[in-house]
Amino acid sequence: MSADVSLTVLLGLADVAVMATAVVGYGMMRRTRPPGSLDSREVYEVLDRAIQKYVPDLSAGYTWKEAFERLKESGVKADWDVMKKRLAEYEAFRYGGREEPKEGQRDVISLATKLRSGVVGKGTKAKSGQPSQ
Amino acid sequence: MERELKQRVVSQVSKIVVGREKETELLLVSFLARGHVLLEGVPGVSKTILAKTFAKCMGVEFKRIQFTPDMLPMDMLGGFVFDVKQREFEFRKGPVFTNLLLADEINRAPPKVQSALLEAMQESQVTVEGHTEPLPDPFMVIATQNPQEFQGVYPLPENQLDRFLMRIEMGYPNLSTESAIIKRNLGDMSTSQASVVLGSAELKETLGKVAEVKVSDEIVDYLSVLGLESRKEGRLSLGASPRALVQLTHCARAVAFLAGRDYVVPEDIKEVAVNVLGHRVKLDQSAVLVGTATDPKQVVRDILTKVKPPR
Repeated sequence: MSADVSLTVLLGLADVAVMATAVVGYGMMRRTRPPGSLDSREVYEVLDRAIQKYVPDLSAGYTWKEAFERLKESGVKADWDVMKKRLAEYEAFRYGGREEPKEGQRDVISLATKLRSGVVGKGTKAKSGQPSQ
Repeated sequence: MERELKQRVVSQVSKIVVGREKETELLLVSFLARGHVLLEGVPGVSKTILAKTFAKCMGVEFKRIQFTPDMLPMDMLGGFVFDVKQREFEFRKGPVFTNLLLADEINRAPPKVQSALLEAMQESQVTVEGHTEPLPDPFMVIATQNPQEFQGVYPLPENQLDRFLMRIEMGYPNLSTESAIIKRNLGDMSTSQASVVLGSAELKETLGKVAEVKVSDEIVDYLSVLGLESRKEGRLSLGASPRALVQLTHCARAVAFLAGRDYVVPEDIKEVAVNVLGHRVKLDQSAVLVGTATDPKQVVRDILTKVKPPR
């Protein structure tokens, strides 16, 4: 009888442990979800928010090209040729009906992260919208 | 090829016309968008030579009409003349039957002539005494007017201005450009110096490609919001018409094509919006009186700054 009870308790604990592991694992997976698994629009929404935070005086009607120009002028270090290429791929998908870009979202997220952290130059921390040098 | 086209046209036109690269680009965009252009500037700022050289580079037939107050519609459209041999009236085509027509000093022509030309611009055909004759394809009018002229002129009303795809303002050149113009004029100024950039087959193909440039629903929505905002704008008594928005879309297509794309992005619209909408909107007189608005182009710029494009 006591053996049955302890077996039931053990099975119950095992169930709880499995469920907890699954919940924690799912949560961690969500938190550490690689940028590649976000869709392109989500990635650019993240960048949009980061740009607005970094350059608060940028007008609501800005385009990506204008924003990139502004960031370059502000001394934000990034491989702008690569960013231009990524943007062209995104716009071809968004407005040209091309296939969604599978690569390069990491570059966009990396720029957004840089803007959010304020570390935009060679290890220097800049004020919002101000040159880092 | 598409990306090179702009460069090729600008470099050929620059052989004759100095310092008008931006204006040449806008002329090219209008031509590819099958629109007509109003060049505004004081006399002697290269309006005529720019139009003539541009026509040469595009490899199309060019004619010029000097508008005067005593002009009649038939001077431009043509009319029926009696053919003695055939013993019947036949239609003799006027100078409007060309690919690129320079309507010099359009505001000097009486309203009857202006409206006859504007019908040709809108319909790409001419009707005289019930006889309809199609105009050559492509057909583009480059009209000029002097904004400083107030005597003996018939200013174009809003509905006629709306027929022009773009208004391009040509101001005085800067110091270095002015020196370059003087030096350039010491040599041969003949348009034969400029080469034809597009053959007729290539031109037809190019115009076809521009018409196929994709405009997504998001871009269309963005254009509609711009139009709506212009009509809601307190500093304007007249906002952008649906025709203006359609023409802005065609222009954006041409800009996209010249950038080597087959789809329009918001940037393309912003690039030409001021030139396309600036002459179509009208400032509200009370806003002018209190000094909140002085330039319709600035109001258009403000609207572009305010409206969020798709991103």
